[in-house]
Amino acid sequence: MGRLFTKPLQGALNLLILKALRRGPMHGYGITNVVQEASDEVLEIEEGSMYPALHKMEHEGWITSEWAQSDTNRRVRYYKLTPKGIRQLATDEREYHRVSAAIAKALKYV
Amino acid sequence: MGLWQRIANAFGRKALNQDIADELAFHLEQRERAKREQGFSAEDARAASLRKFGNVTLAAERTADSNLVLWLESLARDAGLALRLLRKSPGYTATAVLTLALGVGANTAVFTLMKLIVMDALPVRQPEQLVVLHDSGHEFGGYGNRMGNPMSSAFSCPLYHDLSSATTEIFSGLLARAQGPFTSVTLTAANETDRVAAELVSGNYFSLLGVRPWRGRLLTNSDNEAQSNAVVVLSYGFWQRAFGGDRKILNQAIRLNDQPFVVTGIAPPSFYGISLGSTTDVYVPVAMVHRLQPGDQDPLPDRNYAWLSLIARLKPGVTLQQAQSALGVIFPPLRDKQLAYVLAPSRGFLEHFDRQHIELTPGGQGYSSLREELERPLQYVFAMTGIFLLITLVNIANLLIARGSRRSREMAVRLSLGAPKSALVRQLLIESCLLAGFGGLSAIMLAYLGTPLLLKQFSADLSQAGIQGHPDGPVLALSLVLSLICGLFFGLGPAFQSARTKVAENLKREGATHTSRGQWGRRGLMAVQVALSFVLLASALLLTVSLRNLRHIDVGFRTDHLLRFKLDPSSAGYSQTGAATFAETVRQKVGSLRGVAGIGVALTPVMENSDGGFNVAVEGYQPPTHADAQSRNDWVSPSFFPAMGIPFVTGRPFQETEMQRAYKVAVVNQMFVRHFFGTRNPAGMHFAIGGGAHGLPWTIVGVVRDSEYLNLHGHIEPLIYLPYTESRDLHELTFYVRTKREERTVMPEIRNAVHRVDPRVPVSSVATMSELIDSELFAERGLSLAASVFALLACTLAGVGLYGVMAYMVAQRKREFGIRLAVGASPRVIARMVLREGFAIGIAGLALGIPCAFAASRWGREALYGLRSMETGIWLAGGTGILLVTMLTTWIPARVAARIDPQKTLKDE
Repeated sequence: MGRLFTKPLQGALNLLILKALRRGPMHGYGITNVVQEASDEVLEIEEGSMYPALHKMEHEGWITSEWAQSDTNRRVRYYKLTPKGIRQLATDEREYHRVSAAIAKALKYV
Repeated sequence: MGLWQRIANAFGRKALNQDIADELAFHLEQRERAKREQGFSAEDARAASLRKFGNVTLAAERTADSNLVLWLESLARDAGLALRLLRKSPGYTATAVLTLALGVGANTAVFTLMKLIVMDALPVRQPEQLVVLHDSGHEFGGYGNRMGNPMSSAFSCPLYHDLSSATTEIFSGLLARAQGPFTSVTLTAANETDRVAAELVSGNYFSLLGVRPWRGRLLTNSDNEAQSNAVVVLSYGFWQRAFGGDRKILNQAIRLNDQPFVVTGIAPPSFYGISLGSTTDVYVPVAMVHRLQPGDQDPLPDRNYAWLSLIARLKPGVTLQQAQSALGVIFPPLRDKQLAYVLAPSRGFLEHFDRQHIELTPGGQGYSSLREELERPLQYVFAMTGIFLLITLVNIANLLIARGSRRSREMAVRLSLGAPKSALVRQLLIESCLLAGFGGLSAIMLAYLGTPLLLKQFSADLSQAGIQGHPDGPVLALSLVLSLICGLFFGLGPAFQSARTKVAENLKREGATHTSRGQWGRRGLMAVQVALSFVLLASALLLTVSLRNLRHIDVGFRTDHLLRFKLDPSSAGYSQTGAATFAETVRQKVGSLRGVAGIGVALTPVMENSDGGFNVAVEGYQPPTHADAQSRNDWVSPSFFPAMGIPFVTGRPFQETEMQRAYKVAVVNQMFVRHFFGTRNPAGMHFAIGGGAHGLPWTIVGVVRDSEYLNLHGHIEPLIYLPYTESRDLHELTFYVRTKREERTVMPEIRNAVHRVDPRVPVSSVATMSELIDSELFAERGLSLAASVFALLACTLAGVGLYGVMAYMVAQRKREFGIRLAVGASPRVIARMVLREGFAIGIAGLALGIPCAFAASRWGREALYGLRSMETGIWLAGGTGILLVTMLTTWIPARVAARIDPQKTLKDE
């Protein structure tokens, strides 16, 4: 993991991006919309920090990207999960559930 | 993103930033469009989308930064992984690094030497402006050129002054120097005497060259006056050696040839004079030559005495061609002035004289006989290191391929687990770059330590002159770059091979019986390596045998148990007659020592590239029209012939009584007789030195066998031996002592005997004749040694490489061998199969190598001596040697193959 970008919610951001891409290839804007809609507008990705995260994940080999042409004739970059990314998503999801269950439990009884 | 793009990104952020800008712009555009669809005005939509996004520039930069940092991080991670992997196979790593270090290191060292000796300019200001003056005359009776040595054109001192004042338009200055008859002077300090190397130079020598003093002042034009105070400049090396770098020596007098000379300054350490390879200890003004030799005729006003070599500095803006054509006008009147001083010129002489002009050649490198002697040999050595570098590269390629195929399973596993191919390729490239880097650094170390050793081998004079020969920065940088290129080049092959890897194929158990493409590649490379090694081995053998031939060349006298030393009584103030008496006394004292069988004196030393000669008029000989009759000569004692072991063909030596009464008797060599008498009987014939206008005073009393005179491979020329007491030039006397014991053991007694005659005369230049011949052969010796070392290394590498290939082959075909053994093949048959493969590689290598070696030996023809009858034998020996190496290295894998346990192997399968 890149030490330079470790922030409290970094793990969550990665998880959300990976999860969003599980639906299929999409561009950065699409990812923000998917996350927002799926969380009933509760979760909002800080858009400025999403792109560094995307590039880092690509570097880790979890996602790949390719360029395409938009209907407005712009270059659009589409991101796609790799097999490695799918495994990473599974691991992260498991980890998230474990931790959040632990936190919920702690909140209940402490 | 691929590796290359990432590197491009790191160096050109522009392209990357464009990508990021495009991506972010698209994002904002989409957001804007969504807002507008929700009913916002265009402006509000824009503002809202920007607000939501945050700082766009910051986001773009953070994205770009994260890319660069991530790339550097992963590079470090990959390098760490590569390092760990390399450490895990130390044998492979060490072999690759060492091989590369040897190949590149040897090239660096030899290139440094080439640069130092052949290419570097003099360590002076603007060396490209310097030109050397040659008089274009052929040999014509000792005027101008010294016989037989076209490089050392010499001019008389009056002519130097004439030229100097006539050429102020084209030259900023003209300097003169002499190293000939005054090379060696006696230094007396605190009752100790020593011989030192002097260079006589004009007062403008240092200023014209642009050499600044290290201490004190160097010479100036005021030192050009014969009447001015006698001064001397010391070379830095001599100052350190003789005076321990003591500054107090400045403005003190030292005694040279028993005359006081005041030390005015010290030349800088980097300045070695203008002749690379010859050491100068003291610089004395030309004008003071007479003080060094007070008993002699003063050479300064003598127009017939040509002893100065001249170097000029072209005026800025004047080209060599312009100066050359200007000299065409300036020189003829000066030349004709000389004619008045020539005695009884022949017609042939006059014709030559009229054609004489001055030729200019670039002088930025000074004069160096060393350069001429070493240029070709160094080219040969450089060629060898080139071949050797090829061998090491082939070897490394082989190693990398082997490692690549050993790791093909690892690669296949990583690919199947989803690693992108680019990552694997990058990993392999980083690995080979690391290897190349280590190899390059080791090569630099090797070259840095090795070049001085190599220099010592090729020229002891240079290392004595304090020239270290460490490679300089640019050369070292070049060799590091060379290593990296090699690393990349040879890393790419295996990297792409593994990138092509088919996962399924390689995940299958290794051990198929077929020979894969890589295997054939490795065998081909191996054959090439064997071929190249054969070229080096054959060269080494040829050169070594040639050196042996040269060492045992028949020089016409006995070279064993022969000792040489020199004495210069004139430097201790002896007059000409005094010197002769001194020499006779030394001859008697040393001759009566127990270990001495004979002692002779000569004025022109034998085999030291010194010569003397003159025109002769010979009784009954009519020279071809216009030509001068010439002969070389030496002045010797009668005892010279028996001491040297030069036998008489007819007649007798001159006798002591004849020498005392100045009878003009002479001995000539066989070539003289063949040239001037043909079939006539030479005994009692007469000749004259010079034109013969005043009769023929000299009588020939004997003829001796031809012997070498100038050097080892000099041509035999007509030679006259005259009694040395007749010479009016008794300075440095060379004594030849035939010893009864090992030469060096007699030396202390000889020193004592000379010391008892006169302690003020130092014994110098002590050497045995074998040592002299050896030093004459320094280039050949260096060449043969270098060839032998490279051949040995090449054969070792070939052996190691072949072992690797065969061992791998055996491991791959273990299953096949197991099956063969199981169905009844005898271990002997299996071993023979393996041996046959090795043999095939050896034969293929030889088939490729023999034509190459043959071509190489034709190219290097001139370095080979007396080999015609032996060449076939040498080729055979080389071929046998190579096959022997192949067989020996294949033997171990063959034994392993023969000992395979079929049951165990097949069970493993």
